[in-house]
Amino acid sequence: MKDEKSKLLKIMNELVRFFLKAGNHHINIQMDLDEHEGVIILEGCCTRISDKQIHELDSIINSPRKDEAEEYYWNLIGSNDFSELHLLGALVNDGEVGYVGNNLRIKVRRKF
Amino acid sequence: MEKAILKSMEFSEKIKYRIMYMYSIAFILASFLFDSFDGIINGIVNIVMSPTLLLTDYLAIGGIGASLLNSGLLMLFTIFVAGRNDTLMNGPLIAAIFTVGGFAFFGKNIFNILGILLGVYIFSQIQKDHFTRYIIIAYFGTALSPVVSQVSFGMGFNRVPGMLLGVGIGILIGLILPPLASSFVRFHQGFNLYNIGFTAGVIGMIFMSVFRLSGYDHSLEQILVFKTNTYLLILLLLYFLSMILIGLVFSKKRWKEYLILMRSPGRLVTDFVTLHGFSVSLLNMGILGLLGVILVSILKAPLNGPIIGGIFTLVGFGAFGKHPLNAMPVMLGVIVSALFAGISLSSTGLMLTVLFATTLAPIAGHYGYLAGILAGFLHLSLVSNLGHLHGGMNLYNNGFSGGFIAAFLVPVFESYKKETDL
Repeated sequence: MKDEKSKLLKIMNELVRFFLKAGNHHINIQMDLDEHEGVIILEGCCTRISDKQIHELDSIINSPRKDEAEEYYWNLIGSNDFSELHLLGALVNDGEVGYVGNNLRIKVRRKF
Repeated sequence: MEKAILKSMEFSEKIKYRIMYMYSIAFILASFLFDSFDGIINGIVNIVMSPTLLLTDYLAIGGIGASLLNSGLLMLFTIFVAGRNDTLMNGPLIAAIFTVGGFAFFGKNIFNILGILLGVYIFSQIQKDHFTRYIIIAYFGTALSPVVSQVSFGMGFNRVPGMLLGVGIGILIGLILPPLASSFVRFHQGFNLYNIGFTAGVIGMIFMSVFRLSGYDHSLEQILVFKTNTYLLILLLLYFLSMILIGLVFSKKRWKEYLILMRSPGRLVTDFVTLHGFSVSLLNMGILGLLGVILVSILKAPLNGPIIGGIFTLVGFGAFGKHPLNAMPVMLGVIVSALFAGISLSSTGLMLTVLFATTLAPIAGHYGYLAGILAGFLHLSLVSNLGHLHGGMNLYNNGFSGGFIAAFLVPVFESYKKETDL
């Protein structure tokens, strides 16, 4: 629980990186925390990403969480110049990716 | 079901564990082909009672049988503990198990790893967390096992108090490793695969400084076997060929998937088991093992304990970032550097650097072959200057060096790239 807020912050940074890389430069961020879990929702426009990218990201964030990699590597996520989407997948429990109108919306959930 | 999930579940966890158990038990059984029971027991006693500083070849002090048994037992133990903690048999864990198994030929043994493992376990309990989250750090962290052996048997203490003090220091190391390992990974931005090697280098350096301040010093060791045992060579070839065979059979010759794996830069955290499947990873591991053995034979280096350790580490990381295309440029860089400096290509020291320099394989994978060759070239220059800092007590000396090389090269390469890679 000690580093949970730091981890959520880094997960959020990684998702912001994904939006910027995709060319979406208008981003709204929402973060909800309670004692059991943290939920991050990002919504942005205006470049459309391909269905293949959506499918891949959906696959990554819904892959099983990998506790064994967490404490060793979590500091890599969201902290440098390189994409760490697979590590993001290892740190979150599940999520959703899709379009709401013209806005790309990504939601991830991490249980504590 | 999603692609990534499907690939990681191509084998059930139970089957993956059974295959890993099979490779550890193979060494235990093979040990009795090389020595008598009494010879093996005497060899194990010699191995355990050794200070185990770099480079202490267990084949020289304990014999082939005892070294194989030591390696098999350590792998068996680490697989068992991982299983009891419900840890997924993915790339990081496979890399850690084979690294422990490989270093069980020159530095790790059934006594000196326990304190560090216990220390990390206590840390996880203090954090009120599950040990699984720290198990990779614990296994790789046994890089500092020589500190335990050196305090126990090399500093002139009486046997029992020395051993208790050694284990106590191992526990202390285990208590400080997790936060340091997690923090230092940022230093090289994931381009040094042996991250714990860098962390352990810093810890070893601090311990050695305290030892020297207290008036104690020691020199590095060079206890080595200089001749290759043909039967041991055959055993290793069969070992790696079996990985290729199992990989081919169960992957149903998915060469296309293997070609995709070989396009991966391999930077931390690239778990080939999750991304490409267990069988394709096993195929890659076998090919890397074969590559290591062929390279050792071509360069006419002896197949001794440290070199077997280097090959096993290469094999383990075949599930976690390394493949022939990102490993070979770095190896070539080391060889070019040795030719430039006039270092014998058949020496154990050089061969070790060729094998372990692949800690920098992600540099070749991410920035290209020339960058990989440059990384290997610089790595050989630096690695021989670092052993003194930690007094040979960090077994992953190449990981220590690799951390500096990656931290030195990556920002330079990044600043000259045309576009930022967000």
